[in-house]
Formats: sequence, structure tokens, C-alpha cells
Amino acid sequence: MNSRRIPRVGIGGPVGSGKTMLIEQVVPILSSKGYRAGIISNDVVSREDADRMRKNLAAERGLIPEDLVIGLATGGCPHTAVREDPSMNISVVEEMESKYNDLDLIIIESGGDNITTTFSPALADYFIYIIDVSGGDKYPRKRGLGIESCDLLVINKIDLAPYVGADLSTMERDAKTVRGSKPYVFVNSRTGQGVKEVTDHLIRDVLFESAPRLSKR
Amino acid sequence: MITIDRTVGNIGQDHKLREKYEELCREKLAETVTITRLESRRVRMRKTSDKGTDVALTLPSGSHLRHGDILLFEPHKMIVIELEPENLAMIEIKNNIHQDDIIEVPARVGHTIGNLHRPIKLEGNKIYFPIQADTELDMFRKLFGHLNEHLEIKKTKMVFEPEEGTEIHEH
Repeated sequence: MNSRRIPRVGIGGPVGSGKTMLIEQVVPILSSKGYRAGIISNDVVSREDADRMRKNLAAERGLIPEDLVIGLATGGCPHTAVREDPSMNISVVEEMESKYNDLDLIIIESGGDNITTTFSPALADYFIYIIDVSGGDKYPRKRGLGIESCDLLVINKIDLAPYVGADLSTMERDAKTVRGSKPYVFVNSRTGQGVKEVTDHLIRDVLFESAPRLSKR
Repeated sequence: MITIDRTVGNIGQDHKLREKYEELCREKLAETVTITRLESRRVRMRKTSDKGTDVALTLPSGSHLRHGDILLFEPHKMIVIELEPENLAMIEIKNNIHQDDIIEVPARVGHTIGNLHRPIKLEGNKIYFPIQADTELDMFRKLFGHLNEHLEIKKTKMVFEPEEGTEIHEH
């Protein structure tokens, strides 16, 4: 309980919107700047996303230790495990805090096709909601708790826009209307386009631009 | 960037602090940081005040911010938390309930609101809870059915701080 509280970011959004791939793009950029992140991935029954990130980020690239990628099979809707009763996630966060107190950040991913996904403020300090253009350009203006309340709205797979008839300028206009001054970023996680901008937001608003923990020694 | 790791009183609860705040307001030395109700439960965030001061909050785990909490109190500067006003439904229970229905009306109203997972704020004979769209008022009128003769339902917009224990999930 007395270990240092590590800043936490929640990433939510519909199934297939690109949460896992966004993490796979963000973690190497953070890592190149010296920041180390732990990852918790919530899913219903499988641990496929966690296994993939463990392979891609830990085993193959050695960016983080393998036991810093944890898969939680929540059984019910994963969004309930980050909103109504985050106790299971909080216990994993606390375990990471006691074991790896020099981490700069813990990223918590949760799917669930739910436009009202949010993260309990007891669990996450910052909330990224991610959608992709293939859901249609109406998505931002249909609102919903996730789109309205998130700290950063990520609109992914912009390379697909011409193929699915999504007008990015419509999405941009609606995102501005719905979110006021709160930020949004257009991203293509396959090429990495826009990912640096996402990382910059995390470094500013979650890490408060502080130096990486390990370099302070 | 200034880092705040604790609050130093509340201008709504301490009239001396309130007077000081009003004095600093007149001298244009008071600043506000506006947050949403969701953010009021956060312990770590970075915000900008209405005068552009960059504020990083690192509050103790489990604490939460209230409307009027003071983040910084110096002789010539005060930074105060303001909660963003929200769209609310206001249900007033009228004085026309027969003694036999004195339990039924409020119990059914509370049951209906609770079934839709809304947090509430009680004030006298009024119940407040958040709504996202005006059409929800009609939905509630429908749900209340014959109770409507005892109720006045209106939309209003104000700062909402729910009763402890009712700030359950909303969706």
C-alpha cells in the first residue's frame, strides 16, 4: 500500500478499433525516451491481446519485462471491470507498483463494444477513447460517454476512410462540436501516423513532462 | 507548472476563506480551475486555470475534489476548483399526497431513478439527477405514470454534487 502510485492511463473503445495496436506503437516511442510502461489487457475470455503484446513488445523487442504484460479474462463485459468494479484491475496495478516501483506508467486496455465505456477515476488518471473510421463518419456526432468524456479521442485507421465512405472533415467538425476544446487525434496505427501526437499528450498530461524514473538515479 | 498535492480548505464551507476569495476576485487575483464531475474523483491530472496557470494535481489516493476547494492560497493569489454545471432533471414532490400514499410516491420515484442508475442530490422536497438529453424528461414522465399528478418535472442546469453513496455508475 505504501509503494509509490504510478500514473495510469486507460484505453477503451470498440472491439477491433485498434487499442492493442495503438499500445504496440506508443510503448516503443515512450521507451525510446526512457519511459517504462506496464500493460494490463482486459478481455472477456481470451488473453490473446496480452499474449500478442507480450510477444511483440517483451519477447521479441525486449522493451519491457514479460511479466509486465498482464492479461485479465474478465468473464463478463470487460467494460464493467474498468468502470463499475475496478477492484480486479486495481489489485494488478498495486501488484505492479510493489514489484516494479520504477515504472513511469501503467496502461490499462479494455474492450467491449460500448459507446458508454469510461474508466473509473479510481483506476485511471487519463482516458483515451479510440474509434476507427469504418464505424462510419457519424460516430463522433452520435456522442456517448466515451466520446464526450474522454481526455483524448483517437480516430484510427484513417487510411481506410476512402474505402468505407467516411469523410474525415465531417468527423473532425463533429469531434470539435461534441468535445469543445478537448483534444482528438487522427491516427493510422499501421504506419504510425499520429502516434507521436498521442504519446506527446501522455507525456504532457499524465507524466507531467517529468524525467523517466530510472534516469533520475 | 505548479504541483498541488493537497487542497487547503473550501470557500463554500469556510466564510473567512470565502471573504478572502471575494476580495482577491475584486482585485482580479483569484483564478479558477474548472473540472467535470468525473474529474472530481481523479487524483492525478493536469489542468489550466482560467488565467492560464498550468496546474498539475497529485492528490492523495481516494480523495476527491469538491466545488470551491482551494488548490493554492497565497497572499496575492488564490486558485479555486469549480465544477462544470450539468444538465439535470429536477423533480419536485408536491404537497398533495394523501397520507395513505406518503410512502408510495417517494419510494416509487426513488426506485425508478435508481433503476436507471442515476446518482441523486436531495434538497427539501426536490430530487436532482443528471440527464444527457432533454428527451429523457419525457421518458421519466412516462415511467412515473399516475405519480405525475404529485410531481413537477423540470430541466435545470447547475453544479451537481451527488449524495454520498449514490454516485454509482451511469450509462
